[in-house]
Amino acid sequence: MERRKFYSKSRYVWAFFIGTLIFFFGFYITFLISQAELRSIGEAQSKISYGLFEQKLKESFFNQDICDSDIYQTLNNYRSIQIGSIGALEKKLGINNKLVLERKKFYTLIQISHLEFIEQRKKECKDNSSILFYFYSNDPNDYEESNRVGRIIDVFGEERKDVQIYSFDFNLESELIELMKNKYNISEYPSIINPYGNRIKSPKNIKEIEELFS
Amino acid sequence: MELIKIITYFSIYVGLIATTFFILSFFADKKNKKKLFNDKELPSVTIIIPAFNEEKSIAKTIESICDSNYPNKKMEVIVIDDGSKDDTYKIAKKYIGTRNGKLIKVIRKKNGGKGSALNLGISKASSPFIFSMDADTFVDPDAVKEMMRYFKDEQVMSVSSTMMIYKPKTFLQKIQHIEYLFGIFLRKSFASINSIYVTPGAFSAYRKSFFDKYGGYIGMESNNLTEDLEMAMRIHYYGYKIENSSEALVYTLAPGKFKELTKQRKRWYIGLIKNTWKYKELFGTKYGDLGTFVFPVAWISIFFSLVMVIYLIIDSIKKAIREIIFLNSINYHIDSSLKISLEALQRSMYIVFSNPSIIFLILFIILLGVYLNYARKKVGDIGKWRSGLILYFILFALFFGFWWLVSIFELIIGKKTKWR
Repeated sequence: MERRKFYSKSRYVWAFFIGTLIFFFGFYITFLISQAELRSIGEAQSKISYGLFEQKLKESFFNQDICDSDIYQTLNNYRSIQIGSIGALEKKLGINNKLVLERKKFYTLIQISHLEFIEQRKKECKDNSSILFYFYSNDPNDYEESNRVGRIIDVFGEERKDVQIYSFDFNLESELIELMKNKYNISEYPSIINPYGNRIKSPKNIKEIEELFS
Repeated sequence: MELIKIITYFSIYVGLIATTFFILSFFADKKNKKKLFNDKELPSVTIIIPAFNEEKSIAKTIESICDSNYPNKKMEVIVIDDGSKDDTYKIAKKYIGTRNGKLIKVIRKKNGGKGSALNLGISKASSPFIFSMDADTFVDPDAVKEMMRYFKDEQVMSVSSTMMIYKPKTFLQKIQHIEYLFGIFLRKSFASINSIYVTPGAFSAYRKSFFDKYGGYIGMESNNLTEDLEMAMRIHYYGYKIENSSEALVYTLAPGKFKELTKQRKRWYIGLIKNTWKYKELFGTKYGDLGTFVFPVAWISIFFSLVMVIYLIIDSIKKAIREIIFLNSINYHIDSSLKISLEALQRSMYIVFSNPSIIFLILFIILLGVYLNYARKKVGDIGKWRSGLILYFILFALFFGFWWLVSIFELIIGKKTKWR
């Protein structure tokens, strides 16, 4: 049999060129979406910080009673949105992505500010809220276990609305995290801490967390 | 990056290049003027209908082919009853003689498989062109004429038709209906670079001289499960052309039950493996686009599908176990867990659309829409397709991988696959 001719060799070049272009264009679109999400997280963080800053001024400069503040619920809502979005971005862009780390550090700052706010309310407004710290790790070797515990905590939070949950990345390079670890004597993860009671590492079930608050 | 992600992106990349190539080929072919027989030049043809236990459909099949708009006295129909145990022969016998200007002959033989029945038909045929037709297949009146036109080019040894599912009812038939509709575009594109590697046994046309020179069908007697595929590969092997007529509409009864469909696909896939091995020389630059691109891409796609399905099965089992353990750890508070998952999904919808695989999936859906639109242009009424399309998206890739997995497993353990 005679060697069969190619119908058009240039068609292969074109197919390779167009296929490659579409392939990278697909990635570029997802990059744009991620950037937009990062921007929206940044905007949300600005709103939270503004809220907290405004609250502090109202209290210190204008002598407004913290117990009358309606910012409490707004901040809670923002917080839950933030943690979901940052977690999703971490998954998408990687735990070492600089922009994600920046947002995460800022989120840590907001969380501690919020914690201060809640502590104050507890003292001054007879607020019965309980507090729970969750120290996790996003290191690939620990991710599965931290994720498992995180999901149990989510269910616990859904059932105990009176408990304020604060999650901190144990390995995040942040001075605030180090100060938190020192203040509450945290050396392992995933750990759950009731700052007014006991602590537990890697709870097997929701009952073990409930017992921290019984 | 995880290995499965690398495999997924690589398969998407190969798929994009291949699809672009097929689309470019399709449009390039539109500019080519082909040598076609006009109505007056149409030569005489013999339609061979091998039948084994086809009492339910044989009458309709014979009537359908006899209703063809083909010049009178230029069409001969030979029904070969392959030792049926039902009333196939009795029903077919009633048609002996002439109907609508077509001469009908019915021959009975001992059961020997489709290949042997076709070979007997070829030996009795009086025309230079042969059609193989399944006894559960019905044709559009213009199908034979449209297919025959392509034989003006003497290099063309076979012409395939546009296969459709006859009145799809069950959900499996609806999925196959969509699969066949998508195939209309691809088949035309493959034909444009002479790379059709299956001439459907349900209805295909051949130049008789090819059988005379290179032998008849190789069927079950030689442990060949897909005599149509073998014939197509043989045509390529000897350097000839296979064309496709997208105007020739042919309807076939599709398996309606999963067991029947799995049996059919096992036969096809094992047949493909065996015949690819038999004609392994077709791979390589000697066979142009077919050997360099179409064949390798087809096998790479099969390999990727298999890897994906195996991964999906293992991953699903792992996730199911993890989920059971998790539900146990939250005392089966499924309501809370579900609420959290839904909230998380709403919050991070962006992550769905920031996944490149999702972007490519959307692109793939658009592409299938284009294929479907082409099918609609060629076929006209494509019937109810929406439910079939949804089912196709959800299930076909899984089924495809499953059938391949089962076929390879049975081939390895040496299980004998039967025709029916």
